[in-house]
Amino acid sequence: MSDSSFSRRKLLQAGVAGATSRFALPMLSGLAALGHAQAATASDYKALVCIFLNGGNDHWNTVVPHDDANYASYARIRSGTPNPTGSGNYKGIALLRDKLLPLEPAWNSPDQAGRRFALNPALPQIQKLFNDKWASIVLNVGPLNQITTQAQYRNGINLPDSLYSHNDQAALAQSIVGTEGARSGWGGRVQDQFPSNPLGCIAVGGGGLFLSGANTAFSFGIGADSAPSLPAMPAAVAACYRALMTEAGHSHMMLKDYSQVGRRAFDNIANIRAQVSNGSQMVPSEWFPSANLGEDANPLAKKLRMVARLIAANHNSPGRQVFYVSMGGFDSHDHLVTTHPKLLGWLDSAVREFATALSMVGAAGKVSGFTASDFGRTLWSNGDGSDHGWGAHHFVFSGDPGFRGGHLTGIAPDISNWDRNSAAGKGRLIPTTSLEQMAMPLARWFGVTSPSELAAVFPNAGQFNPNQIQLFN
Amino acid sequence: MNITSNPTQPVAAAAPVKPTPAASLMTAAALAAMAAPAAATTTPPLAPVAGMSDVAIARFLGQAGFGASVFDDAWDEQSIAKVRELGSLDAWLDWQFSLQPTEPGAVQTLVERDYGKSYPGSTRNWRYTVGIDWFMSKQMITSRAALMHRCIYTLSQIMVVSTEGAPTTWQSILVGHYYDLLKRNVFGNFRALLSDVTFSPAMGYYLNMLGSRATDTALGTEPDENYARELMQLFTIGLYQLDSLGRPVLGAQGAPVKSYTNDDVAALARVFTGWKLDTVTKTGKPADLDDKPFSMTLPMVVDTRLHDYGAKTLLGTTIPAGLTPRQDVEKALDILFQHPNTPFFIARQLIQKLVTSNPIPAYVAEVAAVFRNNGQGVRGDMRAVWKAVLLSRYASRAATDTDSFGKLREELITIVQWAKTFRATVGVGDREYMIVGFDMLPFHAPSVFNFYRPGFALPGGAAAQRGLVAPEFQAVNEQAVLNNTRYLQELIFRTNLANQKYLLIKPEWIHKTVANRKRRIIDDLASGTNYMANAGRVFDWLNLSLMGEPMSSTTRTRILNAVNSLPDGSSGDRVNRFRTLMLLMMVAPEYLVQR
Repeated sequence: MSDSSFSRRKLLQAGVAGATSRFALPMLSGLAALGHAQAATASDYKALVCIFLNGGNDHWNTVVPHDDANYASYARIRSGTPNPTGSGNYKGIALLRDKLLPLEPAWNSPDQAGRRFALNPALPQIQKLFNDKWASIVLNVGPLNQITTQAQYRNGINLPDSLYSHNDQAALAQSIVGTEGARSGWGGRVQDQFPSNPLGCIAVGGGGLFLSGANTAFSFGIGADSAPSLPAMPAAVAACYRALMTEAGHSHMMLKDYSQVGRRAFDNIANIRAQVSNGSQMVPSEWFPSANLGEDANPLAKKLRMVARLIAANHNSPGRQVFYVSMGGFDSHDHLVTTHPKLLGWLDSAVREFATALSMVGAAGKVSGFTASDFGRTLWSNGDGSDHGWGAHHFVFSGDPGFRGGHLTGIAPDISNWDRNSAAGKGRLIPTTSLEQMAMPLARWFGVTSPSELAAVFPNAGQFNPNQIQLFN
Repeated sequence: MNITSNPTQPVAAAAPVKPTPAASLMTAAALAAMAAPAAATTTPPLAPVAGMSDVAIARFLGQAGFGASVFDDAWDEQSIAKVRELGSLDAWLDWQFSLQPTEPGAVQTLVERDYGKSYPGSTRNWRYTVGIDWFMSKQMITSRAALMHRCIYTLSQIMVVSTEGAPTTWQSILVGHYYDLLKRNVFGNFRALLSDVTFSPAMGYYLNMLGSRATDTALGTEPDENYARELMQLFTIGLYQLDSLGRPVLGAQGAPVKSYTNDDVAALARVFTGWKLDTVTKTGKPADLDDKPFSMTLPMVVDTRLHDYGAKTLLGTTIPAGLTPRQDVEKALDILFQHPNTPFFIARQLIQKLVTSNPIPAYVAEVAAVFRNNGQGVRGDMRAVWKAVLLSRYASRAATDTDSFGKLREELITIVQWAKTFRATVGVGDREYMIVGFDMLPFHAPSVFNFYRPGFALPGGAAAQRGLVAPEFQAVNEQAVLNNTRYLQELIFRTNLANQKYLLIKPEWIHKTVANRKRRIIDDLASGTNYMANAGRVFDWLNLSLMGEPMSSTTRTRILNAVNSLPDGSSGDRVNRFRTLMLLMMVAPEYLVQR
């Protein structure tokens, strides 16, 4: 617990059932060594967690402008007036100011020029994490080929490929180097810099591009609820099954790919099962109460519970792991004010439960996480939702003592005088911070520090000020 | 497969001819494309089967449906014998086309099953998706019209709607109506399909055309761009300009040139303003269908107050101001339908779903040419297009692409094939022939991008290293491959006949299956002998029916050794051996990759 600012007392206040007794369990440190004996250059353990919000999170209703001038503009643009035509049931999509959860930044960068922000009312736990310096926010971040002005945008000068397209922008957010068809993600390329650990990149509940390296790293996929297990079969049948699934002699590319996945499954199943088993003893289900609500269970909490278990099983041995989890439903063309808070509420409780669990097992100081999404959205409403945008605000979480929590970093957009032609139109932000600029501090924290390694992970980083975003001391 | 082209063979009956759009609405490129096709070279070949091997016919049946039936007595529509009886692959396709009108519709069936009314104490889950899930499962497993169901499944994965994004009530009726319009148009014309999809409440809800309104400065709202964007990106023209051979046009920097801009999206979004549910019409409303779900089975209607009547410029063509909302939509759909990209873009995806993930350019161009002109001057004739996909000489692998040709079978296809091949049965009522516990049923995709995207390849894998794609691998990972095996194992070994909830095959059916087959194929096995004593024979005919292409001798030997190691003393032992054989064959990657 000494590795974090998250005090034991606060944990107990957070209402973690059974926390005291579970915390007293001895750590099963010997078993954890199974996972990453190969991580030769790592002298300690660190884990990086990507939380991907599928569909393009409406950042305007997540991190809301809160100073007088900007809130007034936000409310003017998003609220509209009662529907003069009398049809439909238009209500506007702005959040009421007095319901918002104000952020109290530990430090205001000069870039923010006094602008203030508040969180969606569905994010009380993240507000608390922010104010307790466990969370920071990167403002207006997105894919860029270069720092881009509005004039350059309008003239199509060196823009990222296929802006506003879901699959392309989701791929770009994960790879930073390419749209649909990108072959590696930055999480995988970060892990490439370490000697290969077959379980160094784990996608819980689907996904993979973010975790696929350009070299050795690959995404290992497992489900959220339990470890993979082999189907029960008589011995001779099981041996045949294994031989079929792991056959190395195929020449057809799809047979090769299928068998490669099969080999990974068989090669690592004992290891991953041991990790999940040990981790499940250390991180009991009740530490993630929102994951235990049956039909209404929080899907992200289930996935982060599995991540917490794997971290718990591994963090006492040196090594590096990158995780990917995702949650869908963020493409809020409609019903923004009813569906979005539910999704954010899941994010809120899942992150809080995750942070608490990591603290309970003493791993919080070794873990950083961040949110990412396809793109931001328009500030202008399309009736009861918003459309595809570009720049967005995102969260970074860490329990590392060196983490600069409680910060609003990046450049706060000034929307106080916006009309529908401002920025990229209809209230789309032109990013002022590139994906690289947000990712590089995380990569450096993870241990990718040499210029050559960083260049391998972020080939276009030279276009941007590498120190614009400071996430760690 | 050696299909000879026969230019004298008449083409299939043409779909209804749609009026040619006004030339003023067409781009120069579209006009050029219309002039391009040469019908004589694009007529689908006859594909006589006299000289074809059983393997080649079985491969065709796997691409056109759900594999080759092993039954000789009934359900023989998919059997190799049926194809031989009809004399050509063409004739089999024509005969399959002819079954389409006799297939039941979803809405009618669901209403008959009481999914259309809500009332206290109703036993039907009218709120949820069980109705449409059951209907789709049952139709795919039991219908004779295998081609139609494979093609509808294909369209449902391109023009995606999903219950995941639907309102929380009447999902089965809403999506059932969408199924019905896919069925109505699957062998019709692509242009009519575009209209029906556009005006359908299911799509209206899913991609938010329903209720979208013109820019309203008082309200501060903009038209919803969702349908406009995805209609172009996913349903018609795609992101990149394609040249006359279907290849992306490269710009000055070597980057592909976009086929539309964000301004085009905004213009098209304005076209799609002013549509609402038809809550007025009551004509034809079945007594057992409530008003609300009935409105979900009618095309959306105009709400003039919400439409943007201004002029719009879409892809360089101006749609003049003052047209009716319907005229606006039809003109926009004409532009997209006539766009030179559309034939290539659709052709490639249909090939990817039925035949191979990486069609060579000539294959795509051949199908696109038929899309442009079915030989009788009709553009978008889907019968001709399906035929072009399935009868092409490129639909079997050539020496040049032996190591890349084919596609990973969707898991749903393997489940349906299993159920059809072995005549799975199940109890009664709601769960009759229902595939349960499977989360990739039609109309359940997590987004309009379907379960897997056309451009996906397993990162770091062999396909990716070659710059090729394998979309269905998006659903493959280390845990999923083991789970898939476990799911299939549960299906195959399920023996609880008392539990009528689940699909299963009865042991007596296994005996009968093998016995029936034996008379025709394994005729040297004397009646009443232990059919699993010669497991290799059973392997070979299962191999033929499941995939056509023989598995490697290594795999065959491996599987047979495992099967033969099992006890063989009783009738139950034989069933167990047969089930094990089925399982090992159907989890083998050599089966899962359709080649």
